[in-house]
Amino acid sequence: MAHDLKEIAGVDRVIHEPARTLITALLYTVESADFTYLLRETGLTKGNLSAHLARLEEAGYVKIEKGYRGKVPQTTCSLTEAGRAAFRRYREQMKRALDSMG
Amino acid sequence: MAPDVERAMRRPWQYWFEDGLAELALAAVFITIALAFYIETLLPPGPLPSLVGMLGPLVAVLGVGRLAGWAVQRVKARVTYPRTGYVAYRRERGAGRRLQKAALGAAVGALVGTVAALPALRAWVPAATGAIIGVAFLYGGYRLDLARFYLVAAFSMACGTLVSLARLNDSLSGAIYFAALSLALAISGACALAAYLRATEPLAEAEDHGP
Repeated sequence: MAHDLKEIAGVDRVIHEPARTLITALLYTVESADFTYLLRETGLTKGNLSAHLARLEEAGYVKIEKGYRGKVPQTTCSLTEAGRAAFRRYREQMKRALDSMG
Repeated sequence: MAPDVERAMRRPWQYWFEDGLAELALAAVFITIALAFYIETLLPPGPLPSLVGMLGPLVAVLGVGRLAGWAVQRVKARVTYPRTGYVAYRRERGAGRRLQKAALGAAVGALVGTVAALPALRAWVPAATGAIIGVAFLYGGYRLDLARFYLVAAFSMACGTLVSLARLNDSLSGAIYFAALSLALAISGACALAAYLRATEPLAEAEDHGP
């Protein structure tokens, strides 16, 4: 039991925040996605999404690139290798913790 | 509230099918296969009909498939991405992908082998084809949680069985089955596209505001 609690206490806090869990889950299965897509899928406001992406970028989990699609500015986000590994680890930890709770 | 992680991981692939364009592309592939079978029925007896029957589906899948894939990307760039955003997909690699290809190869191999060994079963080829394609759509519907794929699966199975029961000649059976499936996919794709266009609108120029 103490081991299970330690496992929960040890989850990655950057990913554990619900909005950031959602962003990393969405980005995990793709090469990259733009800001518009993430905005629609997460239902967050622009400011909120920007803040969460900035936090993930700061942790080295997300790479953000600014460019243009035609004349329209486009912000593309993708998970880094560290981000992928962290998300995999997070899922495994949460699965183990939930399993142990029965 | 904790997000449903599994559901979120499925979303990008659901998004690929949300605008119905992929089904319209698949309908183009199937109508080309149907055309190849139909042309086969029009040709005089000889080696040519068999050649058309063998090469037609191959050309449809490889040639038209690639062309349709290219067209889908172009249309998505004009219609879908400006409305609901751009996603670049990872090419699936690894054991899962190999297993899917092996399962499909085994199913087609088993079908061809059985028909070669037991010519009396030729009349049931459309039913078997309908079942194989139907199972593929069932699997897709289940994996992506897309209800309309279940309808396409049911249609494929029912249509294949009906065409088999009609006891037409081989090529005509193939032509009718693939034309019907193509029509079903075109309707499904067109309905999905209409619903998507109704529910979304293009973003204003210069609207992105990323971090």
